[in-house]
Amino acid sequence: MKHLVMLLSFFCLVSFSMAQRQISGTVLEKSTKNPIPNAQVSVGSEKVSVQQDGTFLIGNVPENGKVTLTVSAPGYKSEIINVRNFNGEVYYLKEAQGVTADDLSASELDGDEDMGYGGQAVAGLQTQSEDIFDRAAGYNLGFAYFRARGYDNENNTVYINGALMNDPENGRATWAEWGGINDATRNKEVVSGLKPNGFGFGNLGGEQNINMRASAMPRQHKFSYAISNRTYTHRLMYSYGSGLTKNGWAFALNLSRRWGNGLVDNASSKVRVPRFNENYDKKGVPDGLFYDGWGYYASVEKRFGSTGHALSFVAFGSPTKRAMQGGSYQEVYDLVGSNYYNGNWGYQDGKIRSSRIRNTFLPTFQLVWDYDNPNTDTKVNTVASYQFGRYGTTSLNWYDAPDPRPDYYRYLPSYYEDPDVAAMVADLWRNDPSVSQVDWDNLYQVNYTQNALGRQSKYIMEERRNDVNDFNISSVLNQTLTDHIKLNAGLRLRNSITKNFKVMDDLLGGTHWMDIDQFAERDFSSDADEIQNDLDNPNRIIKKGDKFGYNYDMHVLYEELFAMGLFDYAHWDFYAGAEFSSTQFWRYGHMRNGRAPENSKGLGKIHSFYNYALKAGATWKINGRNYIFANLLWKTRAPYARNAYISPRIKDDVANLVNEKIFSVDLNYVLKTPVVQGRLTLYHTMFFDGMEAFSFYHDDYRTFVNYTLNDVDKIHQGIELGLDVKIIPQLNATLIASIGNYRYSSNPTAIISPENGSFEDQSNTVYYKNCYITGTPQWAGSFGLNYQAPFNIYLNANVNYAGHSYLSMNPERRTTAAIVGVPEEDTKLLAAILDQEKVKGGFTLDLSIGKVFRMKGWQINLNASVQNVTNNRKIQSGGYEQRRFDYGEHNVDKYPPRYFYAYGTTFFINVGVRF
Amino acid sequence: MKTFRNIFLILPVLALAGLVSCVGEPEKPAAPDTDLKANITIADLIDRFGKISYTDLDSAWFIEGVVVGNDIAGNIYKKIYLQDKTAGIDIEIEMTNNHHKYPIGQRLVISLKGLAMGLYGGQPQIAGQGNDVVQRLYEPECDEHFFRKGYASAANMPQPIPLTINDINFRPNRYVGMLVRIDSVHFEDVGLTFATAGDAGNGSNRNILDKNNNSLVCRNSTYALFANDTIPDGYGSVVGILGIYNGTPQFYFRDKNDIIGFDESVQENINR
Repeated sequence: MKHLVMLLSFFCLVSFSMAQRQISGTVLEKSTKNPIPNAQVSVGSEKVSVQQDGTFLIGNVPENGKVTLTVSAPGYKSEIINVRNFNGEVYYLKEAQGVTADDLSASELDGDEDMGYGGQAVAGLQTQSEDIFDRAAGYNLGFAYFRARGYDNENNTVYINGALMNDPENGRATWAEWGGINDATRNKEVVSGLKPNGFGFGNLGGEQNINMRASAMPRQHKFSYAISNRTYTHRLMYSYGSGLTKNGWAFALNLSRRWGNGLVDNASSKVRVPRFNENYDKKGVPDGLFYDGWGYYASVEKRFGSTGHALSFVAFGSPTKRAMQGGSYQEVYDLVGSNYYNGNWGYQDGKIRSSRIRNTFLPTFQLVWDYDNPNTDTKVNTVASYQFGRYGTTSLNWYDAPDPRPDYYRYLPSYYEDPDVAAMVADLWRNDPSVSQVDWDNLYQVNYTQNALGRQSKYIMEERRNDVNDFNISSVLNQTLTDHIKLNAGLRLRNSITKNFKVMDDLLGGTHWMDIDQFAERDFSSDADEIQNDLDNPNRIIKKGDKFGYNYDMHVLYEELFAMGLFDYAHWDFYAGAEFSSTQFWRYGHMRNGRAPENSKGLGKIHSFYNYALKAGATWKINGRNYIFANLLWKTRAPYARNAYISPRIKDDVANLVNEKIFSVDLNYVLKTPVVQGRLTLYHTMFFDGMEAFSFYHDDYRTFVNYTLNDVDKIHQGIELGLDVKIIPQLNATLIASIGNYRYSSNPTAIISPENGSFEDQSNTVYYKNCYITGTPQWAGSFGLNYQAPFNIYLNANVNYAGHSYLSMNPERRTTAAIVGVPEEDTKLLAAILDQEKVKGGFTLDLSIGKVFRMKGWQINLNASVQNVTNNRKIQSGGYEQRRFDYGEHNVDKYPPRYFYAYGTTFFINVGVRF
Repeated sequence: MKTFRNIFLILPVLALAGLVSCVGEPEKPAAPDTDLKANITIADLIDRFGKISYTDLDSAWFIEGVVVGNDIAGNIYKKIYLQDKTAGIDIEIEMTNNHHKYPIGQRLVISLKGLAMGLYGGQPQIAGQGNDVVQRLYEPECDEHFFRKGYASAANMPQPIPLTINDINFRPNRYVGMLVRIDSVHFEDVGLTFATAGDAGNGSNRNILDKNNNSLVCRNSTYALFANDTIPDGYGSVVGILGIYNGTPQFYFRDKNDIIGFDESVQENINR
């Protein structure tokens, strides 16, 4: 490390010892004149947090010209000010109005992560950023599942109080884990792209650190109630912050409940006979959903006076149960007359019941030790974090019985060649909910018949669990070495276990279930060892609550060490840093699987990876208003345990595991004046040797098949623009645009592994080169007007656009096997098989209004927002090609794709009272 | 300082170059290929093994050819015809809709070891081994013995051999299993359908005649897509596979596009 610092110092011995300007001042809340705990002040890329009393000092201000200062704080309206008095000026911030993206809960699509279709929007990810682009993109483009720069979720890192929160097994940050406690998670430092930050080495898409220490919560009691027709109907929330007492204590609390099903009355079955044309279309949101989420957060902080030490205890969690939305085929949507058909639910005794319920509760406890010594300009943030709990999703399963999912392709009119039969089926689809939805009553009847025969259930509800058990500890140092040199360094240790298993959720009226693989039973005799999921307990009888099918733990050990030197001079800032990490993961099986008796139970092979990352960047401070900066990153990344195993539920075999390599460069121009602010970024990122994995039911092989893609190379390149113009002091306009070109740049190798062991693992080349990366619009933009009207009224209008998004691809369709038998001259059929389908993009209009009433220390906030005012229901937010293919006849319509549609008009109204 | 500024100027150029660089079209999946090569021509194969009613092929013989006929219109049933420069052969397959798997224009290498040759009504056939009689090959057996060379393409197709009805009647065995073309012929049964439901063997015989009234039997399946179409009047050309049954040459259309130039039929020009 010493060498590194020396090296970096040497690198910057091209000394620029010139006189520098400084800015000092105080940031206060406008109405109360109190300091705001989490306010930040920035000039160009230089950013500092204010002290407890609201004061701040920025060195390194560009030498020439006018200087524009940005003052911001979570929940407050940012101020951009031309600096006149460089010292001692007081800056006031006013509370922000309007609904923030945090309030608009990210909609979660059906758990098709198994299908390689990541179904979670990351709206709210960057909304607290002071960057115009990040803020507007997070807030306005969520409807189309926009991902900044096209990066997958694992390329953004989320820390809470410095502790790493991304899932250890798949690298993704799951926002639902701390959903509903919006007041507690509002304080965050967001750094997008490759820019350096003070809490981590930095990830490709950016990093953010949520500050949930008790002192970060404003001193207040706050009640709020919201009503919405999106995913839930009601949200009730209470939050409390004591502020820092004279003795150095702070206490904070945040409690919430979200419930309802988006203003759909489930209980009264009389009005719920689904005449789809009326009921579905009226709402513009999927039917049959429910939401039941609680959230809690509590924190105590003690500051030990002048020693500079502080200890915080933080606990939070969000026990949430929610029904998931399933995508369906266009044929089904057209049949029922609505693109919001949801086939996951059905009637049971006249009441709606969903077959896909996500039930999560991952309580987290943290102990945070902060050390801040202003004399030596040393800050050390040390945090120990422990998270555990359940992450489960229910699903129907069946044994030797017809598929219970209503939109199974053999139940659709298109399956029938006889037009009369097709018409009859279509008619049933339109009028009979036992055909168009899950027919629970029938599933029970079938099981009752089985009971009479003394046999096992034919239909069950199982819950697939990925329970996390994660302990991590980290320590990050921010040290100012000289006037020009700062050092950030940190280390992180993580030990986690993800318990993967299935549990019997409901026997649906039956008496038991037997733990054998029915798909293997087709290929092997019924007394063969191969059909046993647990050879040590053959033909085990399963009752409610029993684990079955598979049961293995994924252990991940992760260690990280990083250091970064930051060098600030009058015209130029530089930084360079390095990160070293090691990852070990292994599987521990609790069942001896009959398809891999020697290779499934007990401790598996330990896989170790050693990785490094290098990054560097420079800012050219042309003057106080114009900045150009560039960043460069090269890193290697260990494969994620979730992708590494070929058939993790069955055996301990891994794919060809190599480190993924990532190169990224960006170039940015930033303009900051009190009237116009903007950023223009060019970026170019290359991924090499990545992996993708998913599993699905394969019609030809008649089994679940695990698909692992090796050697996946990708290129993400594009332009980002964010522009904010103050037209008059009360009115400003914002424009953001993102034009990307995200492509695969290699032809990956697929390994195909059947869970029933009916054939040896196969390998295949998938022709992805130059295909578009899917699941995010490659083009998107938003134009907004914000008006600060008299009487504390705030108005906002936004027009948003998203387009050039592609259906998630079925790799099978991009193989030689898929097109052998198609004559080369049949270009139409070739195109139908090979070409990617672009989903329908489009425009939406959002409006929001806010109003504040103040009286005697009380404050009432009223916010209302309407999304997609024009009720544009043609926008497809995504979808995926089915992961199977009609090799026999090359009929691409035989297994049509599933689509998701962006919601129609939705609203969110929030009332908050604070005192 | 200047170096830094230069870097800053170079970077956008690089970035822009990068933007332009990645705009290719997706690649078509690589064509299937095999290292196997023919070590006997079809003509030699027939000469050696195709003269008696049944022969097991237990040596490592390989033939290579192009699929010239299959069940694309249901007229040919459970067989494909493979042709090389020397001859053509009927390959018996237990698969309906085999044209999806072995389209016309597909070049195949067939590994004959473990298969059998037979003679059915004078027609040499390749099929599976049985008890002194050949068995149609099941799909997995095909997968094991048939190796594709490239994608199917019209470019692989041999020109139909131009023959007269006399040529055929004179040396029927010479052209059996091959794609042939006969010009200036007319149908005898104008106005009838190509096949009549209920005919023996689920097929109907319809004669074509040349200008000298030499005749040749066209054997049309009652399951053919064009079975219920009316036989056109006038003179035209026919293309198809030549077969033989107990000494009588038979002509098989692959689909309706094989019937060319008769006044009453509108012809589509599709590639094959």
